[in-house]
Amino acid sequence: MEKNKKSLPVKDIKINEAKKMPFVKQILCTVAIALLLLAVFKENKGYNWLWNDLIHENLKFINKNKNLNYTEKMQAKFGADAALIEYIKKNTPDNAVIAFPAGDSFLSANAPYKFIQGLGGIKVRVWTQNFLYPRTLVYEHELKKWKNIPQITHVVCMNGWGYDQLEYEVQTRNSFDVLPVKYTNRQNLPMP
Amino acid sequence: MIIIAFLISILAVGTLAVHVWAQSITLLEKLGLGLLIGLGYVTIMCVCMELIHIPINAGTIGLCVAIPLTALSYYLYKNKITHTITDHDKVQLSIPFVLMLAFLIYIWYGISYKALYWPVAEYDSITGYDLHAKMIAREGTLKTSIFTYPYHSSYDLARFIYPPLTTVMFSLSYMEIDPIFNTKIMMLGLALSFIITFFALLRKYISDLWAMFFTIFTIITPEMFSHISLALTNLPNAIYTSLALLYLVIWLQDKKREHFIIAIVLLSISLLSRSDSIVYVLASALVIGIDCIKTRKYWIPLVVYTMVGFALFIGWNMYVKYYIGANAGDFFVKTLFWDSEKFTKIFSKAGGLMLGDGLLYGLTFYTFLIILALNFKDIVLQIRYLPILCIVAWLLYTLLYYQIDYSFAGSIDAYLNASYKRGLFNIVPLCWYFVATSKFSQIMLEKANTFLYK
Repeated sequence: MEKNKKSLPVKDIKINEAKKMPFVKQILCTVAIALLLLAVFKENKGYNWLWNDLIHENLKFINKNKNLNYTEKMQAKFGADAALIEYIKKNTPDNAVIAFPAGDSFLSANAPYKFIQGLGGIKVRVWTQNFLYPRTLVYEHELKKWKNIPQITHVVCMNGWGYDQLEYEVQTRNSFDVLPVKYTNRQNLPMP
Repeated sequence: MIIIAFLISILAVGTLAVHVWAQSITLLEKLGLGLLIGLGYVTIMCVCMELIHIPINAGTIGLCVAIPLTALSYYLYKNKITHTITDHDKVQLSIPFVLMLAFLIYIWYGISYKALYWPVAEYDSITGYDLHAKMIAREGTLKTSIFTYPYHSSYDLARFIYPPLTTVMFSLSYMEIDPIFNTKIMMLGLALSFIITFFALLRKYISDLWAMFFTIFTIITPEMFSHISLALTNLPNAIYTSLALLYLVIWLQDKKREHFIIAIVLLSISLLSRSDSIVYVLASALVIGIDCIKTRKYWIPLVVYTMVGFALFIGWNMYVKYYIGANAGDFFVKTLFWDSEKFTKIFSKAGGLMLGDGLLYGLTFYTFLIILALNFKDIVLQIRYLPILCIVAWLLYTLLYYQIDYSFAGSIDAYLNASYKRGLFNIVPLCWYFVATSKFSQIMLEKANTFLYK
């Protein structure tokens, strides 16, 4: 590296590569750095959060729950939303076009489950799309936005909504279900 | 295991490419830059394949990597170009160095475990980059079926028309039927490459012991560190941008062509991760401009650097508009204006986020300001480029938020709390690099070294 006084300093190669730190000073330096890191991690909120919450709390949780599968982890993060998405996924083929009730209905007081209230959740089509892809999702509140609505093959029925879109009568109406538009003999896999 | 094969071969092709054009840089730099450059290359190839209607899948990407890997290996073998290990390559081990390395490995283990254990759960990723990555992997095109769907708002669309680096990178994970690792393995690879390169760059100017010390303080910046386990675009962007600017500052010092090339390549790739990197092109152009005026030379690098940056920025916008046929709406006010209330609100909020109680950036900006004050005379008299670059980059980046039309985009507070704070990651490594290598720090570290090595 060319030396240039008018720019960044250049390290002293002689100190760095030729000499070796005496053992006692290595210990002294180690203790000093360890104390500095300890103090910083104890006193500063950010580093404290990193050490305790981000690293240790997560490691503790993970070590306790090593055997959780993908679905269980998703349910741990997103609760009922993840469970119902998994149910829809299991009971519809990849090429399904699924009609959903309007996003707001997942937030209503009489919704059958406690859905995510804040960002994301099954109420948001593009969010749900991620987990149900390659299925196509058509939400009721977005119907006007579609240029060419694809042929619906399945309906997410919730609190009575959606049963009128089926081409057959349903004997037992669940508060939440996903059913094919055309009648088939196939029974849905159980709810999670 | 396709993703592991991809990672290794992309690292190899990147490392060999860097070795060909920048033979004299250290082995650590070559290894650190390998994956970064390799992923940039794969992204560019995906855009090219898209334009000539070649499907994007594991096979075509594999070919894109295998061909240059074979060609580069043959070229290096035929010309007997090897890396000669010099003193600069050797890291001096000591007990405090090993202790810090062990600490770094431990926190790395912690964040890796978290990243790979939890599935992608970030809203922006679920409703954007991660979903698009799945679609790219399945549909074999960047112009996926998402563009035929209706959108909730412009925000929904915006995430699908981000420059392609992050989505292409994530899509590699989805190119196997039952992926073993989630997309965050790519974030781990990028962050590890950053740590290696940043450490290698620091040891150009300070001893290995202190290089490791400041590398740790850079990487443990709380908010930035947490993003290693999140599938978002900010950390990849920060990695490419900050390293590009550091290489630029190093080039301004030594004027070695290879440092300039690395800077321009990294900056170009940063523009493939987020378009707001354009503010760093402007900041860099200003600093190169100052150097041109000082030395009355190097006008060509100034022109090349600026033109490449703007060409990529404009190129991607044209690609989105004319090829994808999408338009996320105008978030920015395109004319200059003065609104003192908005200006004060944004800058005071920004100051609060940066300093505050240290929850987001730890000691980063406090330390930077102290070292800045202690070196003020030296910075002004000697015209030090790095602190100037830090300040100009921050100013331009913050002004970008001043230009946003919040009547269209949402509240200022929400924007600054979510988006702005993440964009500051680009400046964090620059600040720590300045803290480590300023004149004052040099004097203090020399004193410490004199005591320790006596």
